[in-house]
Amino acid sequence: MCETMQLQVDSDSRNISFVRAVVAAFFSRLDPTVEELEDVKTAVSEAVTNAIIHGYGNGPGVVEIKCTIIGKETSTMIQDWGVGIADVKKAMEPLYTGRPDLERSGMGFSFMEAFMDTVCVESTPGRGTKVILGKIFPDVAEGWKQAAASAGERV
Amino acid sequence: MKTESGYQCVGEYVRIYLPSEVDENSCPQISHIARECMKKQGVEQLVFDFSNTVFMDSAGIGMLLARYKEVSFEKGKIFLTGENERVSRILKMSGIYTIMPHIHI
Repeated sequence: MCETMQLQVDSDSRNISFVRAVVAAFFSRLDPTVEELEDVKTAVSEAVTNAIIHGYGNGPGVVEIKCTIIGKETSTMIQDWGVGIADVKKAMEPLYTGRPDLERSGMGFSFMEAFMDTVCVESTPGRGTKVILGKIFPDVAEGWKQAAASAGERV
Repeated sequence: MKTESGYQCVGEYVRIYLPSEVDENSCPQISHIARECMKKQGVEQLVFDFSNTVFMDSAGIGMLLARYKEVSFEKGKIFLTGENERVSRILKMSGIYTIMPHIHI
């Protein structure tokens, strides 16, 4: 069974926090750990920030977020219809930033890769960019088993 | 949820209180406050207080690195305090602790 959610927001940095909260709320049905949820929120925050700063150069535009759950597999797609990326490989290099004039760390993609299981980037210059973030959440049953086992150890 | 950033001057250092979420939206204001402090106080030591911070992404790292460049130019130092486990993990991952140590004050 496939569960999905779609959200569209204006390209405005005030919306980044909102998107984090919505994505976290959607995935909470999988009973993730706090850390797993924070990982997804951070990665999504990076991708949405990129769409706003780089995709639309802080100008107007629409950022679309689509979340999918199939079993324990989740997929979050962040899409913009902005300038696109000419050299995706270069853009994903650690510490590389397309905007050295701004206070950027160049670590956005590195963070996405660190916190998600898979990161896929599709982009066409002049047309826009799609970032697809994949993460598997362990079984709810597994989580309870582990909690019961460690509770048993404490007794 | 404390969302506004503020600061306090204590002796030779300036303590900047970071908001609950340090991201692309809140960083410009934090940068502005830090730069104003440095202009006014001629700061040698900056302390970033994360006690209220529950979220930070790489925008925060970029902001810290920019401050480090400015402070180093004036021969100053930056310290970090009040980080929770999550924020600490982000700072460790990005190598920030190698140039801005944690301090307990």
